[in-house]
Amino acid sequence: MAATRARFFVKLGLSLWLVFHLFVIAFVPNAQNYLGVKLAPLVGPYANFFELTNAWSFFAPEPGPPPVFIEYELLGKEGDSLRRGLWPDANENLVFRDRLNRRIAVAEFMISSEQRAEKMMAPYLCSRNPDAGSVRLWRVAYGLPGFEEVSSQNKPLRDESRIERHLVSHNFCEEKK
Amino acid sequence: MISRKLAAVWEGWEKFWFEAEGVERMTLFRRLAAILMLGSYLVRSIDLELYFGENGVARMAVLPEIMDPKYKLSLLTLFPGDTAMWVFNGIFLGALLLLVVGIWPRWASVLAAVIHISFLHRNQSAGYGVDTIISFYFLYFALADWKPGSLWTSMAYRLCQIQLCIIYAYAGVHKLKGTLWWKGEALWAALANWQLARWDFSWAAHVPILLIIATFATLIWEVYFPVLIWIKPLRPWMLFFGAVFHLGIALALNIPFFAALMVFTYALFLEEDQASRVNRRMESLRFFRKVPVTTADTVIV
Repeated sequence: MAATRARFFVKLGLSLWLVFHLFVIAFVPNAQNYLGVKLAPLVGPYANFFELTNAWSFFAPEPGPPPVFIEYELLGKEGDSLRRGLWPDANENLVFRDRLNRRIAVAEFMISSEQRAEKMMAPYLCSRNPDAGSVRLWRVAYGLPGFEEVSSQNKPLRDESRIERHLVSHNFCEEKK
Repeated sequence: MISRKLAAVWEGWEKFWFEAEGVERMTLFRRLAAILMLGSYLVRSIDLELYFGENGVARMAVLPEIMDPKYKLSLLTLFPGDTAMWVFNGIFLGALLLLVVGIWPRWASVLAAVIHISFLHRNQSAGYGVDTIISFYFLYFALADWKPGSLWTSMAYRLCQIQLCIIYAYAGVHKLKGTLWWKGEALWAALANWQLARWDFSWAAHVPILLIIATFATLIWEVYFPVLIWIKPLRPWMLFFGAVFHLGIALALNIPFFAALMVFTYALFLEEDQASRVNRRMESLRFFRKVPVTTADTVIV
């Protein structure tokens, strides 16, 4: 009898948690609204703590950003151009393709804000290139042709005339003590 | 009258959440997912310092400026430094190995969930679809005690199923907002993205009708999956279409870990005896620990 009663209360407690958890996982992907703002103090800590915050917007509302890169130019201590490049570098010899997928995810994250691109990429490039005195960064996004352009006008998929290029920053590398 | 209705609702709720027999399906899914993630995170280990190291792209000092750290606790910020990072990565890979084999699966899941979420919170930009999906499943694996007849395993099994439905529901509904999905051109936009696509798909532009049909088929299937998967006669067809769809993504867009994880979740919708047969075959390799035997009167709280 006592065991049945205990089992009932365990199930009741779990049910209460289930209702809350189900509400969170069903609600959080669509939390950018009035209800979301009002319920944020209740739902936010739990969702953030357990990383339940994904919007599940795979290839949606549009199928992903176009090809994106951070373009950089490394300048020497005297301001002379040392090297230019793109990150992620498609020519980098990455044996496992998943390594490039993660780099693309990082590039997409950086491209969404100038501050992110600057704060993440500039110190990284400086530390990788001790001869650099400063680094210039651009956000680069390629436009993609529609299928009619490709089929009737023979447009290439990688079309250099469709590049959107925005200067992000020019940062000086910190001198190593 | 009301109390009788309430009792019936409770009975249905109890049966669905606490009395489902899904230990074989859960075990199969756990083994497959853990093998996959072990592969994925071994590959990620090559670039660990790039994503999480102090000389990488997300230095500790700039974190507050690039990410919102609110309630996002991480062992890697509590114990900063590259040595701690490597130690946590080693423990994480060890936990995944335990999940594959089936040794202390609950505690291995707790460990895997805590460290996995810590890595995500340390640098959220280095994660993509496969990482965010598996973080939910690690949590649900940690709920299960992996015993037949247990309400914990039953609840975890149902949460895994519901989670998949939520993922597809939102993925489908979000697509309805997209112009390219409405126009039937979304699949083209994905294939034309040469940064993602495995091959040059220029030829596909000459068969637009195929692209449009495939785009709408994907949209309809994703939107209706969360409902139709519960209708038993339709289930094999939903799973078959899903497997073909994800295999196509894996081949065309070069994201095999993501595609494989989605297909592996389908183990949760097999029949228990089907999952059991696959498990027995795996166990014949002697690498995997056996699923505990079901006894009719085992009800574990």
